[in-house]
Parts: sequence; structure tokens; C-alpha cells
Amino acid sequence: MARNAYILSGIIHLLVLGLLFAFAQMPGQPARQIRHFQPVRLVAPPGLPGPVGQGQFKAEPSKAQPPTPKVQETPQKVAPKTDPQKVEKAPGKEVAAKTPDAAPARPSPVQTKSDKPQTAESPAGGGGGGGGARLDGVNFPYPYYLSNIQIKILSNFKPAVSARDARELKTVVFFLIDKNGRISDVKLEDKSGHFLFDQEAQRAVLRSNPLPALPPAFGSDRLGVHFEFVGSP
Amino acid sequence: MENFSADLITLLRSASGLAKFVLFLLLAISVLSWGIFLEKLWVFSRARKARRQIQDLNLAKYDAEELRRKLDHYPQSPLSRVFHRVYVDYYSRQAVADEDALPHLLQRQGANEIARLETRLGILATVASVSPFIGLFGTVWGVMRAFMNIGTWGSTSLAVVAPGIAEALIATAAGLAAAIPALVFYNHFLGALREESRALEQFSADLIQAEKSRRNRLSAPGAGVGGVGR
Repeated sequence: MARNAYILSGIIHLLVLGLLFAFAQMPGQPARQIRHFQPVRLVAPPGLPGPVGQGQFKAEPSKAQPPTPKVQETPQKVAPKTDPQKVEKAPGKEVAAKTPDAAPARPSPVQTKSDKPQTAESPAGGGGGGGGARLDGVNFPYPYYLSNIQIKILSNFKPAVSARDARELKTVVFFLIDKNGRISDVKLEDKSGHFLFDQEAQRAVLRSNPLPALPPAFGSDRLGVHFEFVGSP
Repeated sequence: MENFSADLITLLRSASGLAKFVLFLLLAISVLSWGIFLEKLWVFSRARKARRQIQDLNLAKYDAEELRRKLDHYPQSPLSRVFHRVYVDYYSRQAVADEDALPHLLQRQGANEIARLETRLGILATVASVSPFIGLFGTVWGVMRAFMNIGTWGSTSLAVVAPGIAEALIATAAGLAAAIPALVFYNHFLGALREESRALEQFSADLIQAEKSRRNRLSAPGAGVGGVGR
């Protein structure tokens, strides 16, 4: 009996730990039900604000944010395809929605390379980061707005992570911007696994509240943004 | 709950090697104390069940052989084990057995049984008292790291200090999680042990009394033999 008791005890502990891990690995509920999806992939060189709107716009480097060096190649991601017939504009209603699994894949990456590595470091001395944003929403033809919010958010992003640790870290924060620029529903959508980095990414978004108001011509009250923070040495 | 768990896991992943070692040690200690708990729970519950049935027996009604056969049904009971040893050493060798030998035998076998029940309870007491200190050690280490982070980044902001503190406090939480059940188990089994001890004393007193009555009857003219009550 004595031996069985210890085996049973070990099993109980494994079960409890397993449950803990299982809870942790459960995918979270999407912030909003998404009906209209217009993928806009924005990718920036490390440390720079990302280009905006399917490569139509490339953001300029900003002094306000920590520049990060070296080449970063954005892996090809699968973006959902929008069914044009289903795209409806419904002013006054929320546009942001996410249905990544809903349709066949269409690769839509914009890859950018920086051939001139920069050596400047973030003020904290550690691995800063670059950022890119992915929008869920009906066509958002305001690259200047996206550029502005990226500059503002990245200027608030100062992770206390060593350069070595920051390598290959990537975290995605989802948030909603209302027409007045207020941020809501901030949540970590995809974690890097590094607590400091993830926490700072979330805080950078929260510290950037409020953002500039949405362009008045934009026909919706809200804009959902998936902001990707990429660590780089 | 989910977010809390997720953050806990990421905290654990980014914890230092020593913090992970402390947590692993506490996990092993917790497995050990729960193992002892399950084992003792089984032992004491069977002993209690048997004791209640044995206490209903009127010892004066049976002779030694009958009583031994009856107690054979409860092999896990300390009362039954004590009687079996006494039966071998006293009743089966009555010709040479001294009347004063019975209390001595009962006392010695009773002490052996109590010692057997007490086995590994000391580990529970040790776990209960040591685990918080092991956790505290991990915490102190984590706090030291947090202070070193302040030095490294030149910042006392929460963003720099808080993760280290949070990581450190997990160790204390784990220490308490191992210690609290161990303390509860220890106190519970200590109570159960006292009950068993009292029952053994009572059983011994009853046996001695029955044996005295039997010897008195034996010394009377025309009495028979048999042991215990008759």
C-alpha cells in the first residue's frame, strides 16, 4: 500500500499540473465576432514602424522610437481571404472582426529588408523591438493614421530584456480603437513566452491611450488592430 | 483563471534556474507528504474500523483460542496484532508464564504498534515546518534578482521590479502549498494516533482484568483451564 500511495500522490500532482497547463494552453475567445475581414499586413524593419496597407505605404523611421538593427524577414503568414460579396459596410457598427480560419489562404506578406544594420540600442540597453500591425476591418485607406499609431506605441515600448533574450521574441497585442482614439479591449493575443517582453508590449499599448481619433471619413466606429511586437538584438 | 494560469506558466518559464530547482524540490516534497497522507489514511481508517468492532466484543466471554480466532478477521488492527503476539508469548505457554508477565507483554507490544503507526508522521511534521523556509529561500533569491535588475536597467519602475518579485513569490506560494496540507495531515493523524493509543490501553486493561478473573477461578477448588475469560 505504501508504494501505491506514493504513486497515487504523484498521479494527483501530475493531474493538477496538467490541468494548470491545459488551462494555460486553451485558446482565448476572440475579442469580437468578426464578419468583415480585410487583411492588411504591415511589416516593418526591426525597430521601425511598419509599412502600412499592403505595401502601398512604407513608414519612415522615427526618432521617437528605439531603432533596432539587422535584417528581419517576416515569415509568410496565411491571411484569410475576404469574400467580396460578404463585405458590407455598416456605419455605426463595429467593423473589427477576426475569422482567420474561415476562408482559403491567400499569402499577403510584405517583406522588407534593411540592408544597413543599425547599431543603436534602446534606451534601456536591451533588445528593443520593432512592430507591425495587422488590421481587421473593412478597407482602411489611411496609411498616415496607422503610421502615427505605430510611432506612438513603439515610442512607449521599452522592454527591460537583454539583447540576447529579445532575439526571436514576438508578441501580438490586440486592441480596439474607437472613433475618439480611445483604446479598449487590450489583450495579449499571441505571447512570446517571455514575461517581461509580453507585459511591456501590453503596457506600451495602454500607455499610448488615447491614440489620435480615427479619420472622420472612416465609416465605422471602431477599428480592431493586431499589433505585433518583434524583439531584435 | 485562464489568464492567471497562462501568466503563471510564462512566469515559470522565465524563472531562474535556482527558482525552478526550488519549485521542483517543493513539488517532490509535496508528492512525498501526500503519499504519506494517503498511506496513513488507509492504515488508520482500517484500524479505526476494526477497533470499533473489537471494542464491541466482551472479552470475558471468550477463552484465548476463541478470541484469537475472532481477532484473526482484523489483521490490520493494532489490537489484533498485539493480542496475537501476547497469545504466542503468554497464553500458548501458560505453564511457564508468570502472572505479571501479561501486563509487561501488553505494554511492550502496544508500544511497538504505536511506533509502527507513528512511522513517517515525523516526515509530515518536517515538511510542514521546512517547506515555507525553502519557499522563502526561493523568494529571497528572486528579490535579489529583482534588485539586480534595478541596478542593470537603472530603473526602479514596476516594469523592471515586478516580474522578479512575482517570480519570487511563486516560491513562497509553492512552499505554503506543500506545508499547509502536511500540517493538517500531521495534526489529523496525531489525533488518530492518540485514539489508537487509548484503545490499546483500554484493551490491555480489559485483558489483564479478564486474566485475573480467570486465575481467581482457577485457584478456586474444582475450576478448569482455558485463558482470558473462562
